Amino acid sequence: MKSVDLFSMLNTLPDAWIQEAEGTMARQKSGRGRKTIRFLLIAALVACLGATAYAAIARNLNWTPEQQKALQEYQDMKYIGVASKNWDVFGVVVELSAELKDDGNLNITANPWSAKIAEDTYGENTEKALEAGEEYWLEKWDGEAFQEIQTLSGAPWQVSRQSLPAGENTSWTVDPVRMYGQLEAGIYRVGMMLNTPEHPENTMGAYAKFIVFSNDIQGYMDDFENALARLKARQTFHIRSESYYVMDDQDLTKDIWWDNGNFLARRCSYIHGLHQFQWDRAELEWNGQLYSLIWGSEEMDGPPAEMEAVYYDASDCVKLALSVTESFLYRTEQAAADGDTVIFRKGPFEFWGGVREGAELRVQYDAAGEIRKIDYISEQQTTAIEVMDETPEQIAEAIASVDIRALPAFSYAEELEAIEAMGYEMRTQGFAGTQPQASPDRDTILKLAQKEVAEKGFNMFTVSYDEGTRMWKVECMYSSNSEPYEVIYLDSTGIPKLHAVRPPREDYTTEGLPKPQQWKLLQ
Amino acid sequence: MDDQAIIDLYWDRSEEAIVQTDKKYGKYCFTIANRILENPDDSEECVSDTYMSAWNRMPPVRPQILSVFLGKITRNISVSRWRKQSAVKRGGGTVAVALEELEACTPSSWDVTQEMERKELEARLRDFCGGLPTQERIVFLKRYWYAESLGEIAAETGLSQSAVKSSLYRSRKKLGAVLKKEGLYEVG
Repeated sequence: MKSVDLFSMLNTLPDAWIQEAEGTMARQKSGRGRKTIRFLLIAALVACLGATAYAAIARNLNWTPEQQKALQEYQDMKYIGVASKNWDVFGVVVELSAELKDDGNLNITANPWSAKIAEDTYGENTEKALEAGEEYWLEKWDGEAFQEIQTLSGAPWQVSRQSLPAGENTSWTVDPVRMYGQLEAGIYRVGMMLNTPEHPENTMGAYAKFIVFSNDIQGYMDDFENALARLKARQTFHIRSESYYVMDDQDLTKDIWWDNGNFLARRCSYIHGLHQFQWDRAELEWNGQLYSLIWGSEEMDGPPAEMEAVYYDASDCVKLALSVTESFLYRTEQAAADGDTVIFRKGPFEFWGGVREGAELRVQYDAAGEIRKIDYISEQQTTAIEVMDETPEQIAEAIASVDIRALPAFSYAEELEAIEAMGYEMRTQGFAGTQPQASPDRDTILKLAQKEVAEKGFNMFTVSYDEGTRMWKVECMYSSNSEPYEVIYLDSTGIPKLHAVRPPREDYTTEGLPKPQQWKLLQ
Repeated sequence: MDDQAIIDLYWDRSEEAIVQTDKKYGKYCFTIANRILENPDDSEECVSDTYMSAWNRMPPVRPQILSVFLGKITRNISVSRWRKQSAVKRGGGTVAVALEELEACTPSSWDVTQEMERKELEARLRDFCGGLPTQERIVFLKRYWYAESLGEIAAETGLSQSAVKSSLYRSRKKLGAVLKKEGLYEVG
C-alpha cells in the first residue's frame, strides 16, 4: 500500500465530516476562464453506399460434421455481430474478431488464443502457432443466410499471409474497400483459411463477424421507443439493473425492481466507492399505510451487504432503471440490427466543453418485439438492464415476500445489562415524549424515538420489539459511520424509558465497543 | 439555486443541471482537482468528467450533500489521473508534500486490492477520524482530503501555521498508532 492509496481511501469517510472540513470552498462562486478542450482526432466514418453483388462461390471450409453442428449457433446470428468466436483449428483454439474502423479498414484480432492442452491431431502436446491464409472474402447477411459478395474486379482478395504466434495476441488490418468499394450498412463476416505452419496443406475456414452501421435510424428508433413505452405502461414488470462505473471508481450497483401496479420494491446491493445510499428516502405504501424502511441486517455499523428499499412512485422507478437509455437516445446517430438485437451507436460527442468517446446501446427483443435486455456501454460505465421473464403472479408473490412489518425481537433485560457493563451514557428522564399513545405502531415509535436523540443527522434506524416486557427499541446511526450510535427504549405506550449513547472511543488499540447483541455473544 | 432543485434537474434529465452545477460548484470542484493535479487544463477536464459522472449517476443516486457528492467524484478522478501522471513524472506541490507526510503512517504490507482488507482499513479510518476532536479532524481533512496548504488551513481555521503543523503531526501519529497497534500490519 502506498500513501496515495491511503489518501484515496479517505474518500470513504462520511459526507458529514467532509462537509465539516469544507470551509468556504463550496460557497465560492465559479468564475473560471474559458475551458481548454482536448479534442480527439476523429476520423470521419466512411459513407456506406452502394449496391451489393453476391458471388456464386462454393468454398470448401473443411469443416467436419461436428464442427458444422457446433458452429450452427454462430451461423444463426444469436450473438451480436462484433462478438468474437472461438475456432478449433486442428487442435489449436483461436478467438477471432473483426471491427470496421472509421477509416474503412477492417481490424482483425486473434485475441486471445491458446493451444489445447490435450494431445492434438498430430500427436504433439505443445502450443502451436497458426497462419491465416492469403485469400480473404466477405459475406453479407441477406436476412436468411450469409452470401459471399463479389470483389469489384472479380479477382480474389489477396492479403499477405499472417502469422499468429502461439500464445500471443495478434491484430492486423486489411482493406476491404479497395476490393469491394464502400460497404453498405449490414452484417458482414470476413472469411479466411487457417492452417498450422507445419501442415500448410491442411486448411480450415473461419469467420469473424462485423457490422456496418446505418445512418438511417428512424425505423429502429420508432420500434425501440414504442417498446419502451409499452414496458413502462405494463401493469407489472421486474427489471434487474447492474451498473459498473469505470472512470472515477470501481462502483457497482445492482438493483432489482418489481412493480405490481400498486407499489414498487427495490433491492439494492452494496455500493462501493462513493458510499451514497438511498435508503432513508424509501417508503412503501401498503394497504393505505406508508411504511418507512426496515433494515433487517444484523450488522448495522456499516452499509449492509444487501438492503431493501421500496418505492411507491412508479415514475421514479422507471426513471431510475431506464435513465441511461433515455439520455442516450437523443444523441444516437447510427444503428444496425443483428438477429434479435438492435445496436444503437453514437460517435464522439461534446459534453460541457470536452469531447467524449462514443457509446453503444444494445437492445435485445423477444419474438413479440418486447424488450428483453438493454446493454449500455460507454467509456465511463456499463449498465445492463434485464426485463425478467416473470408472470404478474410471480412478481406479486416476490413483492409480497418483502416483509416490511415483522419486527426483530430483542431482550430488554439482557441489553440493559450490556449497556451498563459497557459504560454507555444513560438517560432515564427529561424526555420530550410524555403523552402515552394507544397501541403505537412501528412508524409512530420511530418518530417518537427520533425526538429524543442528541444527533440530528442520523439516517439509519432499526426498530425492534421485546414481547416479554412489551418494550420497543429504536437504534439510530449513520449509514456510513460506525461511531455515533444511540438507542432509545420505549414502553408499549411510546413513553421513552431509556436513552443510551455509545461512548466515544479513547483507545485506538481496541476494536469498537460491541453493540448489546454483540456483547452478549462475548459473554 | 438550492441543491435539491439542482438534483431535481438531474432527475428530470435536464442539461440545465450541469449549468447550475457549474455555476454553484464549478470552482469548488476545480479547486479540489487543481490542488491534486496542479494543472488548470487537466483540472478542467476532471471537472468536466465529474459532471459527466454526476449526470450518469443521478438518477438513481439522490445525494444527501451535493457538494461532497461532487467533491468525492472529482477527487477520485483527480487521484486516478495523478496516479497515471506520476507514473511518468513525479512533481512537487501540495499533494506531493501531503503524500510524503502520510507515508510515515501508511502500512506498507497492506493490500488494498483485497476487498476484505480494504473494507477493514476503511473501517479503521472511519474509527480514527471519528475519534479525533472536531478541530483536529477538520484540520486533518483539510490537509489530506482537500489537499489544502498549511497557510490555507491556518487562514480558514484561525490557527497559526505552527498550530496546524502540530495538529497534523498529532493526527498522523494517532493514525500510525491505529494501524500499527492493531498488530495486523507493518507500518512502512
